[in-house]
Amino acid sequence: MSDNLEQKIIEQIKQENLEPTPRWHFLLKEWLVWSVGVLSLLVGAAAVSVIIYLFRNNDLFIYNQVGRSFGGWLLLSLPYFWIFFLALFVWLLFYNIKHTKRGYRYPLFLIASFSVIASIFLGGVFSLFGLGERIDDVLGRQAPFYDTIFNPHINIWSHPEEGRLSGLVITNFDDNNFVLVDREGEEWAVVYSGKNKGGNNIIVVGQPVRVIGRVGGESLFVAQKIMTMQPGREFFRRFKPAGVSSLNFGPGKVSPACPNDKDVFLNLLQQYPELKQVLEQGLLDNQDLIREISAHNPGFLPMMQSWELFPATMQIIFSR
Amino acid sequence: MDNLLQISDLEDAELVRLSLADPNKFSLIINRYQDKLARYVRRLGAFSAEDTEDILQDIFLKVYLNLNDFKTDLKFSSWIYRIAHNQVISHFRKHQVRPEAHSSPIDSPGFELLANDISLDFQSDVNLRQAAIAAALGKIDARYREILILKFFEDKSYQEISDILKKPAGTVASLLNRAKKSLKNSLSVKMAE
Repeated sequence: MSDNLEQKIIEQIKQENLEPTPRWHFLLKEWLVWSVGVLSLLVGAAAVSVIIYLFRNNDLFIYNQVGRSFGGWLLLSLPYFWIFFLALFVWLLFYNIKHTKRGYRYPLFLIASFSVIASIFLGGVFSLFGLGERIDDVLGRQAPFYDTIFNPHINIWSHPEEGRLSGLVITNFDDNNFVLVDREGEEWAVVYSGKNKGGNNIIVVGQPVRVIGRVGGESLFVAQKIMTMQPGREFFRRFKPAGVSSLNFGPGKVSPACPNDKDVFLNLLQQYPELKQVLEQGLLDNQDLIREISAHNPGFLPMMQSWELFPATMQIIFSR
Repeated sequence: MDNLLQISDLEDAELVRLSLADPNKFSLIINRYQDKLARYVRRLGAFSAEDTEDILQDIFLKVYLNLNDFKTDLKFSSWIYRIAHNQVISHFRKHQVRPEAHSSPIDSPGFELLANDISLDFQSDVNLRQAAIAAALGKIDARYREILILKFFEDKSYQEISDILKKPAGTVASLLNRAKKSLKNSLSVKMAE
């Protein structure tokens, strides 16, 4: 090796006017690595909070009611998009920690464990503050492909032929009989005679519900269980007919969408003879209850008579 | 004479500070590391004198351009060895060649340190033993070779090797262990031949 290497290098530095790269350049690079790392942690944690929200409202234990095995129902309802999204940002966090100035000093499994645990822990904290719910609501209102990508529940609950129906209540005749519009924009008359409802006052005009049951005829769904819809509730408001607000239009109140509930109801009965049949059967099956209601509500029988509803059936019930 | 003594007493970090203020002072860093790095580069790839000089020139230019990236929480020697290591790897990639053989002065104490560490007793003649080790080093995986060179020929600690290769200290320890086994196997095969 020549002895003048030192001289050659100094000359080259001078001739080419080489200067050390400024310190801010390295600081900026380091700052960028940390910033992307922190951002990945926050986004990953947000994904965890959505996963927690979806899972909390998964109704895992109704699998037998929808005719599925536990494993099958679980696989069907897993939020794959959010799990992939979380994995992506956990990997980004891992990658950025590894590429900080001293990141190489820590074993990979330690950095990987930290990335996973930190994202899950922070996601749990976000979840306590309702972030997952808010993200789902915002995406439900605005995101394209929400029902196919972001929320598997919408798809799961959009198979009336398999006994699962969901949609927005647009008319409620009483606590048990109502009309909903599903994600295809199709209207369903839902009739229900049991007591298997997930809470009181869940059939409210302008609110989405999930229904387990069976198709009873064209656009008629016979419900066995009615439940509220949490994740995806904002998505169904996209199908809200003009004039339906999210106000609580309880029984006896008039919906702006249906100024005359009685006429709508009577029209529906004409349109759907199956509905009439089911209602009649419901009255016959609950004769004691009908008599009790009538005893406590003197206006009930005159109302039924004035509406000319099921005169023969009413006669049978009240002839006893 | 006093001036020379003062310069040799200066810490590496101080030389970096001086070089940033005056490019001429960078010659002090070149002076201090030129021979060490030349040996290291040759050990990694058995380059010709011309190639070694070219690689060294690239290494020192890179060091100069990145002086502001050096932080005192790392040993300067680890930092400059890291740049040298990366430059040699990039030279291999650029010229699409693999290191041909191990090259170290035959009297390098590294051979005996390595022979003792792997309990090598097959060859009573020191020169022959060292030649066999040099040949075996040229045959094992490059990852193993570089870690053995850093440990036994450059006399680096685990932490320094970790900083040079940018690997966790635990990984360095297990790589070193595997490297010694691989070298021993390679020597056994050679002896069987």
